[in-house]
Amino acid sequence: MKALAIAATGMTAQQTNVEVIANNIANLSTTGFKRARAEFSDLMYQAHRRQGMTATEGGNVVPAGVEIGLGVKPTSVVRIMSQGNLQLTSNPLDIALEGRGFLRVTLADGTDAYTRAGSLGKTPEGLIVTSDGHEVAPGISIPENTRELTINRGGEVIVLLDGETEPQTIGRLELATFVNEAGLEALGDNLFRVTGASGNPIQGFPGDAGYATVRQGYVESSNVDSVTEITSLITAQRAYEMNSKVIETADQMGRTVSSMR
Amino acid sequence: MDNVGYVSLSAEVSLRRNLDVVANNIANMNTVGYKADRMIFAEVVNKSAGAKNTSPTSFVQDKHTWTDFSAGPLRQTGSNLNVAISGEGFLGVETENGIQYTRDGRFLVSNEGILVNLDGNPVLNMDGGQIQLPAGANDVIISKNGTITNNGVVVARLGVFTSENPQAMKKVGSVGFTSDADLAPNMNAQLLSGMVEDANINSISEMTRMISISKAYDQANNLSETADGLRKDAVARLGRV
Repeated sequence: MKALAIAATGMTAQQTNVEVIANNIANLSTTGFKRARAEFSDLMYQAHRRQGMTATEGGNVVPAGVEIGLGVKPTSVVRIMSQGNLQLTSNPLDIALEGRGFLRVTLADGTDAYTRAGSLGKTPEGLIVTSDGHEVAPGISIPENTRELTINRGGEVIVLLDGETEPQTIGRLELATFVNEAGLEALGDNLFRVTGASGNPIQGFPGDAGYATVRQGYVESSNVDSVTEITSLITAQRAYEMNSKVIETADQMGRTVSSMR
Repeated sequence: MDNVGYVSLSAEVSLRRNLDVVANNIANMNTVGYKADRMIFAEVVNKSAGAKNTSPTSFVQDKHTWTDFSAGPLRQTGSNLNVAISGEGFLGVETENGIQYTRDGRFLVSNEGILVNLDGNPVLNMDGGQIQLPAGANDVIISKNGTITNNGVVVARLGVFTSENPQAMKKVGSVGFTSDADLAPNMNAQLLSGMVEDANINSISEMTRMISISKAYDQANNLSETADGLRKDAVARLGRV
């Protein structure tokens, strides 16, 4: 009786599905969050009677055999890197990326990570950092006597200092893209790290062909769509129920057997 | 007389296998590109089993499983690297065990810029080769006839293959099929980008199928219990004589 085990794989898969959906919904209003989707595929098949075998002495071939599948497995949890909505904050240090690319940040241990969450801030020394205090490449310091700060579409940080009439450019934000963005490893805190699957970062500047442009005073909200998530949640729940029904049926058939005289 | 037990046993064994098939369909309800399996039973007639002038005994056997290749519902994913085939046909995937065909159009780009499926196996173009996207490809669009463009420049044409006899293909897991003969490319296939084809499982009919299997199993079991009762009676009464 494989039905019990097969239905169990189905229930486990749906559980994974619900977990992924739950994480998406929990991060509905996380800046720069990218929703994920659990993907499934069928497990191997057992052939009890193989197609293509000769069925008779005359050489007739079995056109379709008896193949019994062994259930379902989660293949991957794919992150969907579509653009999130832009949300107006009017904070001069909030930036949203429109298009492809990530900001490069330096973690405390000196390694690089990548993020799309553009709610930036300053250290006491004026260095531009993320909301968790990670330095944003290439490490731009805002002078103390800044009257006005502008980050233009090309990522150039322009300041107007006290007592001066000409604004001056003090640096330009860098972006990185990846051949396979879905292959990045999520570290939490809106950060991603390079893996063998993502490929090496391809450096560029905002506004270059194929790179995002920067919009100051906005942040990119998550790309989670609540309606889609709730619909998937309902589907997952029903699928879970049906798999449990299969277990019930298989169990009942087992009971029939054990009560046999 | 003893045949009754074996007849009901043959039914029970077949029904259990049928439940396994239904269980697998239900487990794969949310698997993209999955095609439902169905089972066909056959009568196995044994002429010598009965007495000379009675009718021969029929056993049951699970003869075939066949795959229902009807189209599944399309679901919009919004990813430009997802495709669903409208109508007949399969996508080709190069695996270490040879070419597999699939209806699962969930693709990604590998770190080397090759179009791959979720298992990392390269997807085939119309000529049966891999699809290499240019470095830094960032605007990949798959058109209705399978032409893949990046920023408007044609890169390759996604292969869609058709089989004259899809039932002869063998399911191998990971939503793939293998075929003894290579499938012919189909130049007229229609693709829908940004969509995937969900499993063609109708939950209501699977549930109904499961209930009827369970009931049939009970009946087969009743049959052997009745036969057992008769045998017991016979032993008891004959013993009295």
